[in-house]
Amino acid sequence: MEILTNLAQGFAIALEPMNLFWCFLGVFLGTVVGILPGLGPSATVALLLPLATQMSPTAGIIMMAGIYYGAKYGGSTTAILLNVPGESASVVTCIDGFEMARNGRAGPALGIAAIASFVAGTVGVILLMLIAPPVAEFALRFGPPEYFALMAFGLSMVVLLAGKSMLKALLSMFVGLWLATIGIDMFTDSERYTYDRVELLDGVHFVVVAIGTFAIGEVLANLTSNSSQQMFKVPRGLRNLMPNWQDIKDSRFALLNGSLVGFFVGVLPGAGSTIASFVSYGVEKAMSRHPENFGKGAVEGVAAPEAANNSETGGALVPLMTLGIPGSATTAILLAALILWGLRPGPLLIQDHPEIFWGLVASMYIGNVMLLILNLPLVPVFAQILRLPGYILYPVILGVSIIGVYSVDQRLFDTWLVAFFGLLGYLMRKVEYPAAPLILGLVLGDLMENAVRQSLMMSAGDVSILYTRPLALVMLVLTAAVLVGPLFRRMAKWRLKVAEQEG
Amino acid sequence: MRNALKILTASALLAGAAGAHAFTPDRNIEFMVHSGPGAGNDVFARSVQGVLEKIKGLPQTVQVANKTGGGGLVAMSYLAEKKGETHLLAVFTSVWFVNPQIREKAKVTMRDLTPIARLVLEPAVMTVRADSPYKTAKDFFGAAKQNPGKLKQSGGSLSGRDNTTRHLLMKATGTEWQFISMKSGGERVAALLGGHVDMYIMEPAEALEQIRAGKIRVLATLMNKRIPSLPDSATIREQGFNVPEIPQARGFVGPPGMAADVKSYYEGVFTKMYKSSEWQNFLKANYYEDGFLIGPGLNKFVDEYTQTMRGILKEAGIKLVR
Amino acid sequence: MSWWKSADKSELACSAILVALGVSILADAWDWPYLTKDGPGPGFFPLWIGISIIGLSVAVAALHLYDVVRRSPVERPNWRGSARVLTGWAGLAVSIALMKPAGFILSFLLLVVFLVMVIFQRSFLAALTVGAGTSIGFWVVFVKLLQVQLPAGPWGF
Repeated sequence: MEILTNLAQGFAIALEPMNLFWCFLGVFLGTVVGILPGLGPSATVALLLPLATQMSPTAGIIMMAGIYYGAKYGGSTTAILLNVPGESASVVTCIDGFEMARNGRAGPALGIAAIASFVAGTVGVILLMLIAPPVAEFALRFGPPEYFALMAFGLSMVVLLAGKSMLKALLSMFVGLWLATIGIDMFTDSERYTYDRVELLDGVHFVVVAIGTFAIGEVLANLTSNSSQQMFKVPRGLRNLMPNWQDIKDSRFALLNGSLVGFFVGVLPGAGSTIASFVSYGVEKAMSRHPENFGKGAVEGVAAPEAANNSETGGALVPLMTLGIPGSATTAILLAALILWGLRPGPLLIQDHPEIFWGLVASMYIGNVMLLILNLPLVPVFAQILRLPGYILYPVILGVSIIGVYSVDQRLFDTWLVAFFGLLGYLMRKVEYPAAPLILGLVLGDLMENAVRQSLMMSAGDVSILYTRPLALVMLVLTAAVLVGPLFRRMAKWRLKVAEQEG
Repeated sequence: MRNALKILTASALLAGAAGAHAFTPDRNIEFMVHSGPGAGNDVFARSVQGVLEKIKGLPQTVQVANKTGGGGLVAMSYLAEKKGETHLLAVFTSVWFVNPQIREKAKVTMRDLTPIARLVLEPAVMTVRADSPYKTAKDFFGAAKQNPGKLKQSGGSLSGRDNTTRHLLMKATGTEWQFISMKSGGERVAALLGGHVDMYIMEPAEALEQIRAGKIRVLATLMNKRIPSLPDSATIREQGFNVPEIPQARGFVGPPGMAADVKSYYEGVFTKMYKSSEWQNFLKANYYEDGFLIGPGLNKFVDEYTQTMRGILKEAGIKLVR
Repeated sequence: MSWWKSADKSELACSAILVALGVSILADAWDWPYLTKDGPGPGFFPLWIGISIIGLSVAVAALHLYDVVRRSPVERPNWRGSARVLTGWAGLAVSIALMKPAGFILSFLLLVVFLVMVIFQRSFLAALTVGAGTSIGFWVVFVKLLQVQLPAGPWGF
């Protein structure tokens, strides 16, 4: 009951005309920066920090959070249409989203991404509202050994990302793991694989690798012939540009799975939406009755990661609001804003300033509705981009890719890297090495290495710490199940074959 | 094009009349930060930007630019290349003093640049979880002595303040415990609150709310004097351990060889800001210590701080390259 | 040696390159502390990553040869058109090299004109239209509206 009164008060605040305006401005800006690769929500929120601190705290946090979750909506657009992952979590969306576009189903893919974003965004807020404090306590039980187990689970998803050859998928992942070791080693302050380049001290930014292998690799692969027809067919008629009922029905479980995985991973500081999207995709594929459709344009393959990506926002606000701990770059800026308003974020924030928390929660319900209304009508419009002939579309993709990569750190070194990874992406396509495991390894690699080394420092070198803590053990058992699963399937197939031959 | 011409003629006039007219900025001013959005420095730069905007401290707009890379190296060498640039300042922190001493590639020292103003000092406090058996610094050191290498502290990079402080404390007490590096501040606090580590050295702004909520306890403050916002917490010296303080200093630095009139212009801007009530409120809200320092005093600080850090790094067993 | 004839050389070349990468990773990692008193050192993970890359690439090559010897059908990558791809890529590289002295807009315009004329074999007029259209479009959206900093030439864009 208390929640309802609080929420009613929250809505009273969020529905004030000025707050509605700030909320709209936030989600609108968020959508824009989300669509454009390279421009992340954290940079945008930081840019608006001086403006926000002149506003009332509630209005400011409503606007800044709007940018945060609005950017998650837009991220899928370029992933589906151009195979350019707009932000980290969209790498997974590229896999099936771009395939859908190739099959002439760009509209439904964009539509399901918007719907998944809406559903999961809302689920994320509901969970934030209902169970934030206990979940935050639970998240604190995650120490380095638990993070190690989570990362191992994440990496085990490689078996689900593999195409024809498991060995090649593994190789791709290991190269990604190696790329993750580039830079200054946090534990010893020594440099690894920097080849005397200052630019490599912070490692290789995964946006560079992702845009190179996915987007530029795709463009290069399409240069083999000079056919200037449009890239793929785009069916006419509004009905074909929107997801149909079957698509939504197929995505039911994906929406639920993505929402939950995204929220709980989001609560953990330092885990992030990329892991959430990979894990939800893996879970979706593992549970699916038609795993063979994944990677060929399965609608669930778009719904799951997009859902995870969006409910992650609700999760990431949990430690910020209940403990005063930022879990990501964007929440760190929100924390800074709270401090600049003189609000003293910490475990007592909700108690001291209920209007901020409940105003924010209510505004997120409203903002998600706004985003759905804003994004769904854009779907048919964006889908038209694919009508452009190749000789216009490919230059556009190249331009967006170069700008996206350059705007990460404003340095030309990264554009050289992206060109290199583009060529690599093309070659990998030709010899059938999948690119997704490369990104998986790169993103999770140093998180896992850190977790292992931190754990062993905690236990003074005793390896058993990695598998004796209950939470970690559960996740490791799950990991083993994922790893062994395909083996069993293969064995069953082989048996069937043998039985057929004998019979 | 016409605008460009206007600016050209305007700046030519300005340059010609430098004797008569002092320097005033004629385009946007850039505050460069060596870390990404949301990190401590970035927030600091944007706060200064906000305060300057409120008090109309500068006639032009300030833009904060993030030049990340190499733990500050990229920003430092970028600034060093911008000799003669009058519209670019950077935020310096202790990293700017430490880097040239421990990294081969960091060839730029603070002395090569033009330090303009030191603005804040951030004190440090030694904290444990509220249900920890350790009530004072002595308890903690006692336990560390009994179980060498068994207690754990969370923190950032090896050359960061938490680790150098740890080395000073271990040396002063003849004890030893583990230092566990973690990427983000959020992870470090979470590790303490979750009981995965025993101790964490944090800033008062982070600590106070956790104390108020009863989540953590302060063992000692690591400053020479008691911190105003924590009047009941004894300093490490009061508890009988002779450890030098290492405050985190933040301020602004310009490109090498900045002309005297430009430098004194910016000194004037920061002095005006320092005197404003907005700035004083900002210091209070963040539990920063006022560290305002310009002119010869600042140059002396730069030299002394470099030497202090050198000594500490040496004691901490971190390899010095020059 | 009929198996060598029917083996896919690109597949084997990839494995060879990956083995070389693995060896180079391993060679660097060899010099770094493998174990410290606090657990794995900086060399621990790179060492095993290097070994895994070598092992897996040898396995990929071996499996391929096994398939060839057993005469099971082997799918081969189609390298037709690769010359065009490389030409396009070279254009991209030249354009990136130009960005520092000439700025993003001009270098990108040149890249687009090159791609449209040489790779897609359209008229110069079409190439110029597409090039100018995309460059100006990017400039308006990113530089003017979104204030993204792009490499600028001596003329300010």
